[in-house]
Amino acid sequence: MTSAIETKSLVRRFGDFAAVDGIDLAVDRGTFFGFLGPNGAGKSTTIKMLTGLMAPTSGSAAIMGFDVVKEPVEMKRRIGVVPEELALFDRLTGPEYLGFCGRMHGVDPATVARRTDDLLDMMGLQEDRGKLIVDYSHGMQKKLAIAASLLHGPEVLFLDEPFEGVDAISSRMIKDLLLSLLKKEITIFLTSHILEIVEGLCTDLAIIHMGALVAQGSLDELRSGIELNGGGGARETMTLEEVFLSLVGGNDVERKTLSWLE
Amino acid sequence: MSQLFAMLRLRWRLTVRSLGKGPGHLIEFIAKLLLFLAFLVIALGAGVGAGVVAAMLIAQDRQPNFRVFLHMLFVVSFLVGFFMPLLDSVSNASLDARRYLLYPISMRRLYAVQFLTSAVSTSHILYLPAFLGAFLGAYAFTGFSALPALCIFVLYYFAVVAWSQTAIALLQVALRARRMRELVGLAGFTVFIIWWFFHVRTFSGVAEDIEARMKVLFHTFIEVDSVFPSGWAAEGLYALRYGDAATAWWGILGLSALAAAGLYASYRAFAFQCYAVGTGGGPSEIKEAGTSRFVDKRLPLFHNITSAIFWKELRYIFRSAAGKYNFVILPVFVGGIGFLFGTHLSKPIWGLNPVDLAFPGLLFYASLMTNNMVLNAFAWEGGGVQSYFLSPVSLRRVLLGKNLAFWLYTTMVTAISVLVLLLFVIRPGALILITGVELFAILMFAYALCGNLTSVLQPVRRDMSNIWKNAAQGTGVLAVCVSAAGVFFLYTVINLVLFILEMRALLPVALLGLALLFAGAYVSSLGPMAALMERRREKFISALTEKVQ
Repeated sequence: MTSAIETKSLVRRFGDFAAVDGIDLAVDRGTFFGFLGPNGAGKSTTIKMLTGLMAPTSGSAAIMGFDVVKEPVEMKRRIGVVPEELALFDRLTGPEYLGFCGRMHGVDPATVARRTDDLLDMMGLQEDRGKLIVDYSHGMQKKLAIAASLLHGPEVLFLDEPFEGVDAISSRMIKDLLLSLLKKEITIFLTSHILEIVEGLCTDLAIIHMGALVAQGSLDELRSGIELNGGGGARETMTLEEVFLSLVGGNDVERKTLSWLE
Repeated sequence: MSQLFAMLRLRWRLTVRSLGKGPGHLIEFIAKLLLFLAFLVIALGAGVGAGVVAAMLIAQDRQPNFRVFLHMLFVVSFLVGFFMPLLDSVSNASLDARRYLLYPISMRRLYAVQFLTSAVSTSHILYLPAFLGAFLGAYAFTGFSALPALCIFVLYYFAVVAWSQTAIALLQVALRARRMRELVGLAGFTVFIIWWFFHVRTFSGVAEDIEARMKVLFHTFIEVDSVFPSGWAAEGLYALRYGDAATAWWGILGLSALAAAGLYASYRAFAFQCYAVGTGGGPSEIKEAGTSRFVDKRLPLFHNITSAIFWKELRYIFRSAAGKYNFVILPVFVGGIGFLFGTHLSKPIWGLNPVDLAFPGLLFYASLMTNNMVLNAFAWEGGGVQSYFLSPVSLRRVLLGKNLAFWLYTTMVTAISVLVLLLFVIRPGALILITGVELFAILMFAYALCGNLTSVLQPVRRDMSNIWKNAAQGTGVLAVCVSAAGVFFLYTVINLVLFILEMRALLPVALLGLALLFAGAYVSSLGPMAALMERRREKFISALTEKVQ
């Protein structure tokens, strides 16, 4: 069985600068995959290449076996995306936008109407169905974007910072929803700076730093790859944050103090 | 003082950096600079001209006319100085001063920065040279006493800026809600157009009685003006010229009081504006969007995707400020111009009926009013444009759906305008009517051809609740002008050839052929345009997800 997501030597350059520098990813079907990295590491660029928003400079990528460059339409039929800059049409109402997305994916109107109701109910947006998206709060817009990404029943879901700007209640609801999707064998590819959430949700992880993959595997596999200074007793209890900082060199950063505050 | 300088320096830096870098921005900067200089020269010239006119009136010993002239001069400058910044503020919802509230700075200092930057803003500063010119002209030609006259000009300027700032602050508080801004803008623009046509109509047919009417009008005008800074300034200068020192100083005193009251009022309004909370835009004030019955109906003959884009686009157009404005303004404008043609041009021009000349011209004009929607067709969509690239759709259908919506909207607006013309104003012959409609169809295809190209090559994000603030898109406008000129050139050539061959009856057939040619060119351009859009997707998305400039 092919992987849900597979990249081979994927590169994206902006002039001389390599934002993504030859990454090889393999994400199995039905996994909750966390894609981590510091700011500017190449996470969003990778997602943009995987979803067809950006062309790779070299290398290849395939989603559910469909090449993102050679078979973009087939690939796009199988994915749902919540990009970092939400792809919303802010002068439509929530149901109008969901209806539009459904039609763009070729879902029949009756199914779109039924699913729109279900999704608005689930996301707690039913009461605001008459409002324009421009009048939604940021959290509501995020939930609507997630709803739109699910409407056509994708096999792979790409979520770029889905918890940013979302309150605790909505965050819990989104987490529960994502976990329920896993039971349906949907593959989820998630980027987030909130490492506690990633640690609680993701079964597999990859860490990208300066455009290159520095680690890939389960949290335990990531832990085992770390060289401990001064004894290895604490390795099993390391949090994802500690693992992350070890891998991207965050622990080596010189701590500076502000003399006038001391 | 360091706080004041820091804020003024920040404003200056932000202004300079907003001009951007690179060759494109440099060209835009040079163009704006040249435009600004041209305005300065024109304003200075107008001011000197005003001084010369004043001198002539005095030399001819026409005191009442000189008095009316002074009032008119100041009223015009007052209207410009008061309403131009106000219009700017309606378009701009942001309030810079609120950002400074984070810092330990007094409200008075904050106000001082606001006032100083407003006093030298483009909308105020553009009429300073006119003042200077008027002052120099008046001083040189009429012998005003320099110092009191200068006092009057300076006090007047401060009074105008202060009262304008008061109005802006109060308006900003009232218009914090987006919908209210749109509504006020629309209402204001409509009232202005109706008022303008009302005046054109009033003065066009009363020539025999005009002198008596003008006397009454000027008398009323001076009485009304006497409560405004413009009236005080005009009366002060008038008295100064004729040696009535007491009235002149009374004018200066009155202006001082008005300026001081204006400064105080604008300070209070500014403070209120900075700290006002819950004055609009809150969740309770958000109205529901209108629903439509045609939701999700598939268009006959067209693909499902094209239909989805079409309906989405149509909703967008009718929810935009430009879409609403055009729907009201265009029929009024076209009807008004048609009315002037219909009632004043009854004699033939070069053997042709002026109505027959006016009709295609008005159709052309109507088509020009809406083409900004096609030459930057993705401007209002922001991050939404990513949807086209994330969905399994052909971009060819996206372009077609958008063009169909543009055509339908423009046809609807133009049809209403034509109906107004036909019912109330002018009645062209059947031949002109048919060829006019054909010409309109050719223009629609030509605009879509050019518009798709400029939309893909030069997309610029726009705020759809705002038609004032958005910068003009030079290349797109140029492309549309060239395409319109090309269509008219072909139209003229065909007309000329058929006229020489004495076969003018064949004009509708020839134009139908031309329309089919343009339709064919349009259809075959869709594929390459979609491919170009796909190739440029990164720059395209990046340009449309940028913050509105």
